[in-house]
Amino acid sequence: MDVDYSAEFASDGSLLPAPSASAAAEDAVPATQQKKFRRGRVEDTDAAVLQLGEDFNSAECLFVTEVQLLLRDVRQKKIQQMGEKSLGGVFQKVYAHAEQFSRFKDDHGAQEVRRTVNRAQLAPFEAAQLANLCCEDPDEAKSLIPSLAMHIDDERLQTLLTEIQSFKKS
Amino acid sequence: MYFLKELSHTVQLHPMYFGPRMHEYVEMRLRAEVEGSCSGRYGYVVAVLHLSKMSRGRVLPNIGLADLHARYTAVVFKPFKGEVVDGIVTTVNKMGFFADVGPLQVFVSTHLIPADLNYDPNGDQPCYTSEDQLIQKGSLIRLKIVGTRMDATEIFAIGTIKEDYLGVISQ
Amino acid sequence: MDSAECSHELIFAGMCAYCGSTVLEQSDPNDESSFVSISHDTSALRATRKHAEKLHREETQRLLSERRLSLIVDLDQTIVHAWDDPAIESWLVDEAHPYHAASKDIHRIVLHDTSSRPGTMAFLEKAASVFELHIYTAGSRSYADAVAQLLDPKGRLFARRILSRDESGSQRTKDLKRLFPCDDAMVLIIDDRADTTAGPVISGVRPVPEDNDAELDVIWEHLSKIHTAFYMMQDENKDENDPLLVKADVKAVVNGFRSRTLLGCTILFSGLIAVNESFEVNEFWLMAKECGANCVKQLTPWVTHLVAAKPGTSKVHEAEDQGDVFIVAKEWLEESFYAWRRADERVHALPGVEQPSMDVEERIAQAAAAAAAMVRSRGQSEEESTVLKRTRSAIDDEDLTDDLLLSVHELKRARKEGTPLNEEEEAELLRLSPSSSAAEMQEKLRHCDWNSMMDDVMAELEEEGEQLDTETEAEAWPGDGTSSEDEASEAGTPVKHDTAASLTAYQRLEAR
Repeated sequence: MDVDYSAEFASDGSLLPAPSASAAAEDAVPATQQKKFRRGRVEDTDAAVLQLGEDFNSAECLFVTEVQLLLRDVRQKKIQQMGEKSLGGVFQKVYAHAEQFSRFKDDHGAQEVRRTVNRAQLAPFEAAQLANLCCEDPDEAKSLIPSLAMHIDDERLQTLLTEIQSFKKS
Repeated sequence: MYFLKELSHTVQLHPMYFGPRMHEYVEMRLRAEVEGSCSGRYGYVVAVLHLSKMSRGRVLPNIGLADLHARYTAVVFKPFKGEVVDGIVTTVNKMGFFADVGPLQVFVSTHLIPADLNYDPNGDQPCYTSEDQLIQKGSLIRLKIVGTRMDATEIFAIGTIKEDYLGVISQ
Repeated sequence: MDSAECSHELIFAGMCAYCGSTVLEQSDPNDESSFVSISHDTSALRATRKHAEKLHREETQRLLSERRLSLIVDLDQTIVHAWDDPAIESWLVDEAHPYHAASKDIHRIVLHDTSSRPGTMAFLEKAASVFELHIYTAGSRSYADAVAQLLDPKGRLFARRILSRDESGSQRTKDLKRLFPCDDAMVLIIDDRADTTAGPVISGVRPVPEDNDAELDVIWEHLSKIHTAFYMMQDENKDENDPLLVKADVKAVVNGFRSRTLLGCTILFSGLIAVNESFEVNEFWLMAKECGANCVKQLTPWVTHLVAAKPGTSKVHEAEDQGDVFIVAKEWLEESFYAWRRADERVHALPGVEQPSMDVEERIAQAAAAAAAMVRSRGQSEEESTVLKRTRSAIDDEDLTDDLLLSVHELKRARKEGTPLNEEEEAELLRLSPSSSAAEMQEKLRHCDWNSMMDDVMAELEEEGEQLDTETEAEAWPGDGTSSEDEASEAGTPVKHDTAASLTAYQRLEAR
């Protein structure tokens, strides 16, 4: 797996020495078939049923306010060290988006929301989406995050939503 | 969705950097090479937060460069079909509208806009209007992704607002 | 929508915009289901040919119902040429400015102070009231965005209707086709070049950085005239069952207006048409033709203007000798063409050559009267005027063999109000027809005297009972002195417009 990671990110075009095992695997599967397999895997994802692909099914999700807080520090450091120009386009777009859609008052609010959603024992994706979307009632939450219906009853969901709402920016 | 993800990357180093500040240099190279990059598998790598592990360098025969294998934790952004996201409308035309969700460009076609929202090209700006909604450039919009596609440097998505609880976010 | 049932007629970045599934593009560009770009601002949005046509039909209908037309504004030459703003300078200086990268294109902008030049904004505002404005620029996308931001910060005038080099490559004509693939009957272009006429319609404007505002006033005058005439034509020809069917055409309207500009003038060129170039495709020849002028290849007594590249050519000397030819630089023709108004010969006189001492109008009237004499006809039947026109152009082009003689005979026949040629006439036609002795005939004609040649034509007409006032004709003959105003105006009548409708609309407009 590690080898694959590197291959993905060899953005400078440098040739990475291919370990013999993976080379053998490639020989065994015809190139076209391998491609199909890979593409198929990408398309099979569906957030409505929490299928995010093997790389992300159990990955740690961040809600937008957390992203904003994390990047705020990174941003300050970068600007200090190398000036504003060192911030790339993707970073700037993400930061602008995170600032725009950040829902909670401050660091403390974000931490409280994180604690709250974690207590509910939901999938990481569901937890982050609840914090992102700040739904008003269970119907809205289940409509926007369909998998919730399988994991939590309306009463608990309503309590959770009310609690999340209480940390919202005024 | 934004994720905190551990990834790895191999940096090739010229012998002139071998020495006490090598790790510092590797980190710099790593950031330069992966931050802002995009792949079908992991989406956008937004920012490297820290390096967790760095292999001992392996000098490549003949050319003298060293391979250093680094594991790092990064904020990545990858959109999924079925995911509900918030974005900002950037362009409105008679075929639909475009919205930016961070680095992701989403197109919502008229087919996936509720029928009561009508296209009006004649105002100050082209827009979609209904009795209670107005979608124009700069509007904040909540949409659901119905398809994604990655190319070498970017991700694009098709979105819909033709479902309950989707559409303009009232402020 | 289920992917299997979906038509996939609109795609964005390789995905169907309706169902989100990945769509493989047809590799054959001529296939009906192949995709074409349809949006100004992103080539990523594409539609099937069929769907694109539907979208354009809807667009056309919308414009018609709003009584508007499309206007493509060429940013680089027409509008921006005289545009400047301190903001642009800040882009150039400030490396962190988002438009800095774009500003490398900006050196082409002639720097002026905008505050003294409010005409551009006023022009765009006026134009936007009856036209849907589109920007075209050969600059990059970011450059186009930057300038549009400057001209139209609220996006009110152009919205996002900007087409730049980035989307279009370099073949503009092709890309205008892309934006308006189905119908160019409602599209106007403001441009500075006449040789790009392959596009829909050029309402040309010269780049005049020194006096942009006056130029824009002229354009506005033209644009509003075209708009009015177009909708008159549309209303007159409206299909009652389908009122949103395009029945008018801006091309015909523009031709109608422009074709009166140099009416009565006969133009000869010197040094502007290459030896091996075909006259009919030459830029200046076409310009003059479009203005309603008569173009000739050699000096004849009724040449009114010689458009010359430089003094000292043999044609310039001959024209000087003839004494009644205005010898002008090519700018005279260009200005006339763009302004739809005959430019001042004195302003554009070729330096260092002798000009006629007579009044220009008078001279044109004279020459035109000479042409009118040939063309004058009692009934002005449609067939007749066509034949007469051909006669005139045959003589002017010195194509003195078949065309002229056949024309004369056809004319005679037409005069007899449609009766077929009798045997005698047919025999005469055969006798005169030069097919057996073309070379001999040409030789004879080459040496013939022009005036007596014309006299012969007149005589033929008279033989048919034409009630020509020969005295007037003689007086009106080139170089013979005086002329009268009514003959000049008569010279204007034989020009036939591309469509009768445009003429009607034009006349109604004039009558207002």
